[in-house]
Formats: sequence, C-alpha cells, structure tokens
Amino acid sequence: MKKIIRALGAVAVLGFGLVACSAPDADVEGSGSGASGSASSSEDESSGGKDSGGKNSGRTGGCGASTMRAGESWSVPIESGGKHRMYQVTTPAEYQADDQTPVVLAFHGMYEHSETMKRLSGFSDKPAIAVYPQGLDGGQGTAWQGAGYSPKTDDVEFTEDILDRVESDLCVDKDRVFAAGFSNGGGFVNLLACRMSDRISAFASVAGAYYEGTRDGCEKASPEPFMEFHGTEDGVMTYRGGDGKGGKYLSVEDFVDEWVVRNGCARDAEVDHPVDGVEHRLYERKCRSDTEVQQYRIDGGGHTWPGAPVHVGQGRDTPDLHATDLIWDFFTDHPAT
Amino acid sequence: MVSTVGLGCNNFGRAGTPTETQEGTDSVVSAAVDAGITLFDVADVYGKEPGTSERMFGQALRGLGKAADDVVVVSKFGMDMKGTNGADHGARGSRRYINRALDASLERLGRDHIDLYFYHTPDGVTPPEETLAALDDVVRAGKVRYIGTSNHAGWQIADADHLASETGATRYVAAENHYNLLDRRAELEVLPAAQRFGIGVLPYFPLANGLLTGKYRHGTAPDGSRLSHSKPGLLESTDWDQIERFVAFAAERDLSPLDVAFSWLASRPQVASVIAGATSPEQVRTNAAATSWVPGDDDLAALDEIFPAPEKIALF
Repeated sequence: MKKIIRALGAVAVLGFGLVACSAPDADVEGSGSGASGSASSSEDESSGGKDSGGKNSGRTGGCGASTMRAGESWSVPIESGGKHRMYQVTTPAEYQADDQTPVVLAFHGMYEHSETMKRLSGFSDKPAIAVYPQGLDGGQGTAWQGAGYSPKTDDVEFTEDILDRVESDLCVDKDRVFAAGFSNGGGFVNLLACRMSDRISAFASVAGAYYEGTRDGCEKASPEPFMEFHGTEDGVMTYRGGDGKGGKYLSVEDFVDEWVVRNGCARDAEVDHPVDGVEHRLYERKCRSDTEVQQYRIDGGGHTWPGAPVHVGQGRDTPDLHATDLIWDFFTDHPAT
Repeated sequence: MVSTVGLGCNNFGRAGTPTETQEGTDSVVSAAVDAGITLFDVADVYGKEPGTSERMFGQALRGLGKAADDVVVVSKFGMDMKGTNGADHGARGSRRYINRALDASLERLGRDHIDLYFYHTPDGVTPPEETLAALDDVVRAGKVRYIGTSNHAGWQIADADHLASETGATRYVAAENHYNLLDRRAELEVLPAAQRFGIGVLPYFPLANGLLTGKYRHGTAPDGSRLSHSKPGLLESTDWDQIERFVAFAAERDLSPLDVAFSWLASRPQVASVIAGATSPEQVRTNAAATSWVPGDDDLAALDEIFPAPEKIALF
C-alpha cells in the first residue's frame, strides 16, 4: 500500500495544476493531498460496483475530474501485485469529464505490446475510453495469464487494479465496460469473462488461444455475451485445437459450444455470410440473462485481426470484415443488466 | 549513429562569447556540420536567458537548409527555467511539466521532433515511473525519437532501466554526465551501469573547464579566458604538477593536451560521443579532429598514473 500511495503521488503532482486551473468544482480527490485520497476513493468505488450485483450504475470517482482531456493518449504506471505495470489509455475525441463514458479493455497477443494492440484494434477511434494493458515478460515474451508460457503474475488482479484506477481518473459508465483480446489476449479475455463479469459486461476474442488455464473458474461462470473470430487456416492457434506453445488448447467449435451451453442458448444458430468466405453464427434463442454468442468463422483466414489497418500475426488477412466495428456494435448491445 | 565529437551548444547566446550573437552561432554550427559533427547538444535552460540557446540553434539549423536533415538534435528538460514554462511545483519530471517543456523546446527549435531528449537532472520528487510513462507518450506521439538521462546516479539509471523493462515503457538509451581525466568519478557507478544496460555515455566538460587544454599553467590563465574570472577557485585548487605531467605526456607523443583528453574519453568503451562546447569555427574544427589518436595500453596506464582512477568505495 505504501508503494501505491507513492506512485499515485506523482499523479497528484501533475493533476494539481490541471484541477486547480480547469476544474474548480472538482471534488476532494483532485485537491491538495489527492494522492492517498484518490487511492482510497477508488477502492471504495470499485467495491461499490462489485457489490451491486451486476447493476453497476453510479458515477465513478473520475467524473468531474480533469485528469485527462478529450483525445489524449497516456501511458500510465501502476503498481499491481507488487509489480510495476503499465497500461495505455486514450480518451475519445468527444470525451467530457462529466459524461459517463464506456470503457474497452484491449489485450495484445503474445510477444506484443500495448502499442501494437492500439494500432491493430483501433478502439481509440470509438466513442469509448480505450485501455491497452501491457503484459509482463516472464522470460518467454510478453504474455497474459492462462498459458503455459505466461509469466507468474495475477493479470486478473491487474485488470481489477486498472479498472479501479481508470474509474478514479475518468468518468466511466460502469454498465458499459467491455473486454477484447487477440490471440493470447483473446484467451485471457475468456478468463476475464469467467472471473470478472461483475465489472465487465461483454467480451470478444479474435484468434484466441484457449489453453486450459484460460478456463480456470469457468465452471462457476455466469452467462455472458461472447463474440469469437477465428480463421480456419490459423497456423498459430489452429481452428481444430491441439497442443501449442502454451499447452493443450480447445478447438474453436468446442470453445464456442462451451459458451452456448453456459449461456443456455439453443444450439441451432442463425447463419449468414456477411462477406464471401465468412460464416457468421448467431446463437440467441433461449439464451439466459439476455446474453448471446456470436461466432465469425473465416474460411482460409489466418492468425490476424480481420479488417485491421496493420498486419499483425500470420496468414491471410480478411480486409472486408471489420472485427473492431462488429465487436463495438456487439458491445454496445450488451451493457450490464 | 552519431559523430565521435558532439557540439555542446551551451555557449550560444552566452554573454561575452563570440556565439552571443546569431551570426557567431551560425558560423559555429556551419563549421561543425562541415567538420562532420552530427550531434548537437542543447538544453532548454542554456543561454543568458532560458531558451536562448535553443532559439539561436534552431535558427542556425534553418540556415543550413537540407544539411540540417542529417543533424541529431539533443535537448533537455528538468533544470530551473525560472518560470518560462509556467509554475513547475518543483516537479519537473512530471507528465504535466514534461509536456509543457517539450512543446516549448520544439517551438524554439522550430522542429517537429527532438532526436534525443534528456531528463537534465532528477527532480527528487516525481516517481521515476511517472517520468518514464510521460516520456513513453512523447516518443509514441513522434515528438521525441529517443530518451536519455543526464546527471543521474548509477542506481537511478539501473532503476529506470528495470522499470522500463518491467512495464514495457521506452528505455533510456543515453546518459550525459560529468566525466573527464581530472574527474573520473563517473567510473564508480555511472559507467558500469551504462555498460550493464547498454546505454551510451556522453561525457560533458571533457576539458575540465579548460584545465586540460594546456592553456592554464601553474595558476596562470591566458588573457580573456573564462575560467580566470568565472571560477577562480578552480585555478587555486588545481594540482599544477599533475597538469604539467599531462602536458608533457601529450608533447612526448606529438599531440596536443586536447587531443589526449578527447581521445582518452573516446576510447572508453561506454562513451558514445564526447560533448565539447565551442565559441569559434576554429575551436569546432580542432575539437572535431581531436579524437583521431587511439591510446595503447601503455598510454592508458601512463594516464592512470597521472590521473588515478577514483578509489572504489566498496572493498572489492
């Protein structure tokens, strides 16, 4: 705790001028001894959200504060689990400190960087606070919890800590907090769906790596909206599953079926083809708790983020299918209920 | 890649020097480029008023035309700008201050980016993780290409590298510190840290305020020399026998003391470029040519005799 206060102390230093100059009505967190005030208030705030049984409404501590302005991009240092961590955060062009704004958490793939995810996904162009956490390098490359190659760290706790901080710095719509990830980051999003659905309301995975460790706790998970994209010619995380760098992993069909069953949906999906060579399956009949499952099977597609402005991964791109747009529409259709 | 000798721009706009004027600065910058110098070391605080040196150097660069494209521009933030960048609350390593200082430097330089941006001195207040995060942002924004530390201790360099490695932030790639034959304290902690973390060292004050030029002998200074009126105490505390032995060492090898002082620094494995100030084109040309000598093991041992390495604090 001592270190957390020290780290936040810097934010107080930088926040002092901004608050004093441009937010005269900012609450107590923005003034004077803001460092420790901000830390404790964010803890209160997050526990309030968790205890509200999925109804996350209520203004976060960052509402009215002027930590960031519209259209800004910051790297933010944070202490989590006794480690120095970092995430990037961008505010949308129309961000206003009094308006509750959705949050998208976007997790990069193995070996990658938060900056890569920012460019790959483009969530910063959506009307949301986009957060790009940075994975740790445990000696085998940057990665998220849940795979055999993952560093020994609690990334779920890290995600909780990030949300605490984002909610205390910015005006967050706690009913509209979403998570998406690519590859190893996609697998980690599954872990979040199983363990952090009290704070995150919808989930999306692209070319996800569904190792056993990414399903830890899923046996007790609640129904959640989930969207999945995967190429049938993905040479890194094969569509049929197998034994990979991080251990055994599920086939995409089995993974999607787990969510269909968990959500209580009927197995007969509505099928359409939004672009040539892409089959979209919508499982929405009989689903519990207003959830649904959507899957995009990209015939011949590689280990890529469909429609991305930059090529990351391996194999064939799918430029006509815009995963980010589809994910964003899916997210906005699934606020916390 | 940078030139072995860099031009220190701290004299641009300095009262009483030929580079006090724009014309004098232009001639020095032009001579430096002609002499093959690619590294120009300026700071926001340099000049008779904060910002003067950056402004004059920026104008000199614009006068170079296309030749300015090949120049590596170094600048720094973190010294007291006496309100030029607004109130700093003593936290000149904070995100708020860095953004202000950088935008002001870019405006004065007339450039859209700085190639290497140094944190001039630790403020002792801001946690290094915040400084690194803020610098990470300006690198991502394209306003800065690389970042470095100046006047940081070895442990601070190590701490920052560890933090950057852990968090994925941009690493410091260079360290600018006081280092010359007369003051080898950087060898205790800074150079070993730089070597361990792959950081290039840019020594400043390579001539120890001119004491290593051979122009100062037994307490006498040449007419008009800066040291005689700006730092008379330094002349009084100098070991003149040591200087005489050094001058003799150079003469025995048919070198100038300046050649030896620069070449010795350049021979240090961690040193990337030697930063040397100049107030005339002649000085620039002399400095640029002063690292051509490659000292052998015997030469280095003899210099160690004259200028002993600092005594290690730990008993190992």
